[in-house]
Amino acid sequence: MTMYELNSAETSTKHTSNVLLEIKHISVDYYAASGNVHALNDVNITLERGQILGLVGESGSGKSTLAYAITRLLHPPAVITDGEILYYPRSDRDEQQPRKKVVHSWQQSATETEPPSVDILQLTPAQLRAFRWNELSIVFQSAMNALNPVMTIGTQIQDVLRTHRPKMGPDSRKQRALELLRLVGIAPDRIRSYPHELSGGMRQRAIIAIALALSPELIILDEPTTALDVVVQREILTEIMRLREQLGFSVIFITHDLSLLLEMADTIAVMYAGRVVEKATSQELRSRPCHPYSYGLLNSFPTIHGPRRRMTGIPGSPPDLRAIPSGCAFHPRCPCAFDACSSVFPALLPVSTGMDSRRVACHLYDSHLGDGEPPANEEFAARYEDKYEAMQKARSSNEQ
Amino acid sequence: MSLPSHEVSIPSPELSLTTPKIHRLSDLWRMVTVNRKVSFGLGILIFFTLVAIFGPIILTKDPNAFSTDILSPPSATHWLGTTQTGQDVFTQVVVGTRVSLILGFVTGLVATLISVIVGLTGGYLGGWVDDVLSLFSNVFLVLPGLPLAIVLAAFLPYRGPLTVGFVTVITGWSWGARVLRSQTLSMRSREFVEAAKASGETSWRIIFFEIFPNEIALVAAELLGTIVYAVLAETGLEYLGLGDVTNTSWGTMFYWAGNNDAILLGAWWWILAPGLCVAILGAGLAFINFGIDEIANPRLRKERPPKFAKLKKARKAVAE
Amino acid sequence: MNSNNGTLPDALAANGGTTNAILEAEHLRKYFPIRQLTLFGKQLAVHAVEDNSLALYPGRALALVGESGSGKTTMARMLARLYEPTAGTIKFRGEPVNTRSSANLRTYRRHVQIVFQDPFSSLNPVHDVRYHLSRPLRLHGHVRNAADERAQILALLNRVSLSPAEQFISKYPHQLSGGQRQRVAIARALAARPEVLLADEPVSMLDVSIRLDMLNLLLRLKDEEQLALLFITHDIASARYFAEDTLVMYAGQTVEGGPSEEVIQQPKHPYTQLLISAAPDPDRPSLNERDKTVAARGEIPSLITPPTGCRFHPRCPHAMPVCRERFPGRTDLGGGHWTNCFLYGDGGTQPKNITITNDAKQNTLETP
Repeated sequence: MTMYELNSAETSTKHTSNVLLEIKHISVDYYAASGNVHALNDVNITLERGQILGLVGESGSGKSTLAYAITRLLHPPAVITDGEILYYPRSDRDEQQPRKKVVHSWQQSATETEPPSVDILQLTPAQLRAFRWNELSIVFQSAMNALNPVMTIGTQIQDVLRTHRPKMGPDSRKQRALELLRLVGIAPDRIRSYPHELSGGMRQRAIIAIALALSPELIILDEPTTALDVVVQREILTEIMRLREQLGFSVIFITHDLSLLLEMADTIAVMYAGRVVEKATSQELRSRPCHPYSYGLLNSFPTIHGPRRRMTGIPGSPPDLRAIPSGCAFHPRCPCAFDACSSVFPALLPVSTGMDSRRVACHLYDSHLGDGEPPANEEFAARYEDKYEAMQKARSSNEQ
Repeated sequence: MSLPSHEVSIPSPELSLTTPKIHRLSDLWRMVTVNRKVSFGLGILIFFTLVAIFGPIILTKDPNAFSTDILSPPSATHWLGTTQTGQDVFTQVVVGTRVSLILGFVTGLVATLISVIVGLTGGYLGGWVDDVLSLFSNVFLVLPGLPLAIVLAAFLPYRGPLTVGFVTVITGWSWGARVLRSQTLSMRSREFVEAAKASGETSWRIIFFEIFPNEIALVAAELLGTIVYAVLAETGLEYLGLGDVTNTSWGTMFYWAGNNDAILLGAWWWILAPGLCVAILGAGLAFINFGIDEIANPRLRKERPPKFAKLKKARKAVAE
Repeated sequence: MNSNNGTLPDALAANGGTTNAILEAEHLRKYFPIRQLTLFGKQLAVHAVEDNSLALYPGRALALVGESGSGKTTMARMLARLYEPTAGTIKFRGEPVNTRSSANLRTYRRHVQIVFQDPFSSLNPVHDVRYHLSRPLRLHGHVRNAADERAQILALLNRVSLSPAEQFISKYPHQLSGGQRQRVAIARALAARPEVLLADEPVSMLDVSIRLDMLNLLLRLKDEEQLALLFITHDIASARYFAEDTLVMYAGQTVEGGPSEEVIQQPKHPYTQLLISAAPDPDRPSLNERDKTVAARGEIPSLITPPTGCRFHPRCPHAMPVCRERFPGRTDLGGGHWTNCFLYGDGGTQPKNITITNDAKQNTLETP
């Protein structure tokens, strides 16, 4: 086994901790002359090793902002105003020397019981450079345009290796590049191709190959398949799942398409207006969404099989972040809203005691404020219908 | 083929020059006063305009009056000194402002007008019209201004502002035309142009009511640039004696100063006065241009974070 | 739409509605020549659309489904006369459209309008809503005076549910959200009082939660005014939701067509089957059950040098030698459902009775 060969046996060794990333109380503001826009507000998410976390939301939900915050790619006027992002590196990874040194220098709280953690927001530029791509890589929204058009993809992969593995010789770099291309399903003879010679799907695979170059623990995919056709999208997603099984990295998958996440993700966090409104496993979310927004979102996708019926989606439109409604940001559109919703802000709390993994930010589940039993799916459907009818009536009366 | 793509949630400024959201005069005023470059440049421009309008009226001295103080440095009686023939340099500069400014602005305007018509028409219509107009623009672009001016001056019986203006217009319109043509080419494929076509609008209406309003920022920048070019070019041509040397303008002042070896004789004030005027006017116009760039292209704007101290505090809090 | 004379097949006519097509495309082709520097050598062209025929009926929606490079957008642009077809005819109410004269073009535009995909660029940023809506009203002579114009603009805004309408009249595009802009675009199209509305991916760039509202709006308009709608999309699920009929295109060629429910629940052409299996479907068990997913092979071909014959043959698990030689004729499968595939025949109305399954495990043809 060469030193750089991906060792799938590694993934089965005992981890020092199951948690890979902890996002705690992250808030991000955009400073503008007309006032600050709160793009993210007190976001808390925990990601475990080998898990696929899906972040779903529409425009203004802050999902891309969160991705950039994790990788510290936010520029002014965007500023992280609060919170920390704790990353738990694996201390049993024995890659080459330089990385080990950096890992050791990071360890802030390496006690007997607590696994070592690192606050990504506190890393110095040198540490950040070592951190990026070694531990964490990101695939952007228009990833196909992230490839340099005047360099072959082989050169671009080897660039990454040259930067982060200075001790690798040109031959081993080339071997590794070929290995990566094989891994993502690109024929090895395309190593000398320029990006414009590749199709959209292949460019996306090339970007994924670059993201995997240093065997990171975490890969963030920001809408990786939005600009691709549905067949290619299916291929890429299958590829990512296969690679995940083989290499054991975690994924944060950001998209607006909930139906994709239901097929792919282990856990899903639904975001609205800069906050997380529900966190659940994909099975739980599919069978029994708790938050009215989650239910609405699930039923915003026409189905291929299943009954052919009139669907309503969610009335209204996503909020303008400069004018977020008071209390629960969703209340103007919510068919189940009651008095408390416009004045009291709902915190993200466990749905029922003891079940810590499932959380929702909704007063319907608050034993003090909520009135009685939280609604089941049928009731959500009925309420949405009623709201839709009411809005139609309001519209036609406006027209007169 | 249009591929589906999602609205980006991070606000991303457009990359090309956009027309700023000016819909009322108050918007315009606010935009102008907030941007420091524009206000500075505008201040200079207004200053010179006032001098041009009111200067010759207020001044009592005759710029062409000879006096006995020959080549005297700036003093109480002659604020900017005198020329070889005892003429007051200050008066000359003030009177010359009017001529130079009017000439510069008018020729700049005419050249811009030509470039707008040629550029927009060629860019939108395409085909053989575009080929012919492009050919024209390219030919005029490579015409060397100076030799052309000298040749024309030799042939034209009349030497004066018209000659100078004519040459400036001929050499000054083509660059703007090329820029506007390429901008129009990219605008042509924008969806709102296709939508206008699908509504049934005629080509002329689309060019001047749909596309042109989107390019006003570019045209304004080009207008200012052409005016700067015009002022400089005309000053230079007059210095060469191709203008009407009996008329008083900045350029002719240079002409007389040069002819009479002002520098050799140490009369720096004679050159400095018109020279500074040209330079400052040019700088003022350039500043307005930069300011317009910033207004139209949000990326260039340095967004001053309003509460800088608060930002630092917030960062510190995170660090602790 | 198995129509040579513009009338609906009987099965569909029985459902009511008028039976004559209002807009028909017959054997349309579009090639985009590529400008080359060499004087010699063959003229290269992008073969965007190859022999496509369709028909639109009042009060019915036809969904045109395909991926990138399928030619669906080009079809819409040709029907809107933004591109001139290289070959083929377009007929409005049975009469071939003559676009030599601009007056004819203007008249055509009054009857056929288009809504574009991107709400952010289909409205001119320097003009307000009033301008956008008043132009088509004036161009097509629907207004008498200024007061009438204002009244009509308000009425249009109300029809697309932008109320209270007075608030929206003086707004500029950058002050509106994506959904609102798209409604203005629809109102602009309606201002001409068309009989046909071509919607080019009208909801792809909108937020997910408002897409259904927009689609429902279009459906309502279709019912109220008996518009003939052409709905272009890459999302086969929304085609099923929205349109009574579906037409699937691949690389410029038609592949399959018919009533939406039939085409989607009983897809016959291998490409349609691939498309449906690749679409995200929450009702289907999770991705780990890969047995049900059709193995996708290859990529969409280049349109400059497309594969000969049926352009899907390089990727088709059931390709036969004849598929490379020529493009199959339209085989009628009954009930308005048709396909262009040699597996079922080569034109005509006697389809071969076979069932194909595209399971990754078994790539076989089963003949009962």
